[in-house]
Amino acid sequence: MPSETVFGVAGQSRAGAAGERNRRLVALWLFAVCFMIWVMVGIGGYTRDAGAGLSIMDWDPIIGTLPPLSDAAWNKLFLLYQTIPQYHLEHQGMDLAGFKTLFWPEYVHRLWGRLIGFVFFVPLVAFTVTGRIEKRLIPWLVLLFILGGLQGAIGWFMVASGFDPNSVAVQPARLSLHFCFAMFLLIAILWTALTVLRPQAAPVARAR
Amino acid sequence: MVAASFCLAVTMFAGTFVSGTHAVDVYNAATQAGMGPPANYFALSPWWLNFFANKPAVLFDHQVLGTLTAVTVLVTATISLRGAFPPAIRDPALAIGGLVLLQYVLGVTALVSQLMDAGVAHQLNAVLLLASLVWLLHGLRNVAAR
Repeated sequence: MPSETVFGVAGQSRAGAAGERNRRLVALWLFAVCFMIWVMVGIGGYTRDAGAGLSIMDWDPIIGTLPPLSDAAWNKLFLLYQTIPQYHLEHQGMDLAGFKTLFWPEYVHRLWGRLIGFVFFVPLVAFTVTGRIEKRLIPWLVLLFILGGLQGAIGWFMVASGFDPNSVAVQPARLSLHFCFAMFLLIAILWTALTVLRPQAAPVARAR
Repeated sequence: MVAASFCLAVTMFAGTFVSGTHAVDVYNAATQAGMGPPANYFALSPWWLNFFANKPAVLFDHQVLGTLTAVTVLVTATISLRGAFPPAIRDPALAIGGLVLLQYVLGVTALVSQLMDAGVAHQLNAVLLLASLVWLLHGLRNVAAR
């Protein structure tokens, strides 16, 4: 197709070979983040469908990275779970093994969220220091990183609504907010990655 | 194109409430509940609450919007594939066409089977469809800006 050659040349005309390599690297990194967000949607969907989202009653972005490591720690967490309405209304008499099946999906969901933040932040710093990212892009990416942190806070805002009296699940409106914000982040990061990869729009003429 | 994007966004938004309220529970193969318009659509008041909290209504909204989205996305894919566009545009056009069909099948499967894994697959495929539409829109951004 003749327009394809035009497309390829247009993308490379300004930047040299090194610039081209840098752009590909940055785009690859952002695509990897998009893939991680997609996986996150799967973990989150599973957590929601399994009704496991209320199994961790606090939000410790740093300390919460580690799961319970001793029987005492497990029991403490389980006793805490026994104070919320979901336990009394749906899981009365559940044993520790049963509790663990609720704990792990929620824990993995939160851990994966931290990991996405890590995979976003470390290359952002590294690429900034080595000058691989266009300067005008840096404030935008820093903003996206902060909004990613906000998504974690929205997640906790959502989970907290599940502890209300007589509640066995989170408020649907907050679940919707958490999912829609994830989609906003995905679209923003994907669009950025595509634009880094192909800075100039394809000179497409509509055929008629 | 804009219509397809708008439809997909609204359908996914409505879908979050299907998930949030567990509206698939309404489905019953014997009584055909959960298929077609519910008798008590405006059971809750104020009226707008039905869009978010009335399970049969929430489920029905998502089905209607999903059907509308499938049609607009398929039209968009057809138009994009029939135009003389480079592969950078034809590839995502093909992707949205295929993914939207798969999405419809997964949606019906999730409803009829009541399996939570089918629901998760339906949700994951929705994100792939969304990403492919973003990919297509990005490829066409100078056409759209004209």
